[in-house]
Amino acid sequence: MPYSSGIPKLDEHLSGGFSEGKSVLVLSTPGIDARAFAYQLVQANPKVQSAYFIENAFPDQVRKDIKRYIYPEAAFKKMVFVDAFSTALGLPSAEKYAAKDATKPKSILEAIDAVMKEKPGVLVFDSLSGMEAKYALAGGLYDKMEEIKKKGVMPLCLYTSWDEKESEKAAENFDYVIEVKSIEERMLSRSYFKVLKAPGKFVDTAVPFRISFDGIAVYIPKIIITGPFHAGKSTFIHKISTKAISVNRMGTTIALDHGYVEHSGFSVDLFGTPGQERFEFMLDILNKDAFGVVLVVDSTKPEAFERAKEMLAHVTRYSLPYIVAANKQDEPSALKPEKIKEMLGLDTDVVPTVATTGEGCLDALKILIDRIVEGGTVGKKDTETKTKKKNEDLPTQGKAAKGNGSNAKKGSTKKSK
Amino acid sequence: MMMKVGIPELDSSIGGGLKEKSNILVIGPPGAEKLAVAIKFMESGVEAGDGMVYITTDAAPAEIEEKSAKVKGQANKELVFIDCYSWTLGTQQSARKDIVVPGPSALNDLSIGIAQAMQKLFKPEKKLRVVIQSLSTLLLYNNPEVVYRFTQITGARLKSSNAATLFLIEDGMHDEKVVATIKHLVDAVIEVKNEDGKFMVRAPMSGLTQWKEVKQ
Repeated sequence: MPYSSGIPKLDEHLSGGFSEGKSVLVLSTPGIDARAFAYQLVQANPKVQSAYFIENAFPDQVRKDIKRYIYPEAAFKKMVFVDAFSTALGLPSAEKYAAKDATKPKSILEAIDAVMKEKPGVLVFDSLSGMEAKYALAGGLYDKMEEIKKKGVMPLCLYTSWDEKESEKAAENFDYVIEVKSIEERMLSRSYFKVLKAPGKFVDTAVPFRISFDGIAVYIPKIIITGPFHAGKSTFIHKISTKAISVNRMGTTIALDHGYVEHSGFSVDLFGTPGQERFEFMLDILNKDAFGVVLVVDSTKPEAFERAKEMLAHVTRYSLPYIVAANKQDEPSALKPEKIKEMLGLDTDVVPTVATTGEGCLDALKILIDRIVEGGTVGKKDTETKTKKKNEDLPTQGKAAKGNGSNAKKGSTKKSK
Repeated sequence: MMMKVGIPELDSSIGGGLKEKSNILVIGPPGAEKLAVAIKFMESGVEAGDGMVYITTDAAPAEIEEKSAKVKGQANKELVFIDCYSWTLGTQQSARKDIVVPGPSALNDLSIGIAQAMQKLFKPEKKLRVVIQSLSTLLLYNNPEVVYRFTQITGARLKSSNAATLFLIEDGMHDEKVVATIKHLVDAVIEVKNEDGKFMVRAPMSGLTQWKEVKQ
């Protein structure tokens, strides 16, 4: 029987869960609380003996942390700790299993051997990235993991990806790799997970989730389609949606448009906002689960651009990624996307669209989704230029940002020629 | 717009203050001067109505507050403390509302704490001031490579949140190479020292190349 991850959607993507005796790596962006993935799995398998190895905080911190959630206490009854922190500070450990001298790699490996007595089904390593940096025992540690796997143990390692190259290297040693990223540098609360690697069949769709008092909860992300009166928002949504509804009165949306689309590995809900002032309160409501924004403007009506910018300011105040759809490009008086970009003065892509035929609409969405997904790579611009300019030997994280840029360019110039 | 450090002798020599969205290393030998810069920076933030985050690894938040009534008055309002110090006392007993991080080697927990603080303070167009006191403690408990990455990633993230961040570091406590690398990761350096009882400051990358006395 495979172990449930405790997250139904993830189990579904893994065709049932994690197979016994395989290793799992949870690879997360700094600032994401990936411990929740370990807790979620442990509480979902209360009959399985589990052990929790920790080297960067007192085990009591984890006990306290678990209490933040509403997991039943019994779910963690069988969990034992391996304390590799106290003795590193020269303090005695209160745990049954502890590294004799946590500053020594040998002592770390011995502590892992010792806890095997409990015949754990799951052994959580709180911070593999920390262990790699501290003990220089990467090789020895992976050998040890292979060894315990043969005894039927599933090592579940949490890894903070401070360095992309090093985390890629670490990932090679694992049967399962789950990537956990935030969509935007500032908004770490908007995160998604994705299976990168599994021994059997798996789905690599990104799943947005939130960590709240009841653990990890997944949800469908919303993309907001906004723009001034008669810019073509409803038509835009209807053209790209697999399903769409809107409430109309005399051809104008009075409540809101709603559509659904699957694209670039995301299932996305599209929400159109009405163009009239009196509905602005709805924008705030929509904003809560929003992942990004498409601003639709009528390319023949530059006089409405100021209003468009106001609307954008309203929805992007939570620092959401956004792009502009320069709509009605089939009209003779339509301004070119470059011109519109200049007039709006926004630092984003302006994609030419004709919502009535659907031309360019999916491109716009794709560019936005790329932006959302790639946007999770932190420090892109700064580190990139800095690294080049000043510090050749620090590895750069600019790769994703570069890919993003070229993608975006392709999309925005394609039809404007 | 420049962001005042709050030390007139320094601000006037570097074009009015620090750039918004920048990372600044404050370096000096052991002594009270680095903390004095951090406190002035916070006080100036109180005056400007900025959001503030104070990360402390080598002193309790209450000790920082004692240095300035102005700063103390803002705690839990526009100022959030991130406490990486009290973990040594085991459990935090006081009724303080600080964000608590279980020690200076739990760098991811520190990142989570910073994200929480930013979310608490975030308002569009609001400027933020952050103090990290100090990188020296982080270097004591972590591999330098990891501290470089932490500085780089945290710095970039804070910048994108409209923050100016002071990273404090002890001079003469770390390898030359370590300090040189960290200097490369920031936008500007403020150097401080105490010379015959005088508080001296300079900022070579920002136009103040000569030591200048700060009258307190």
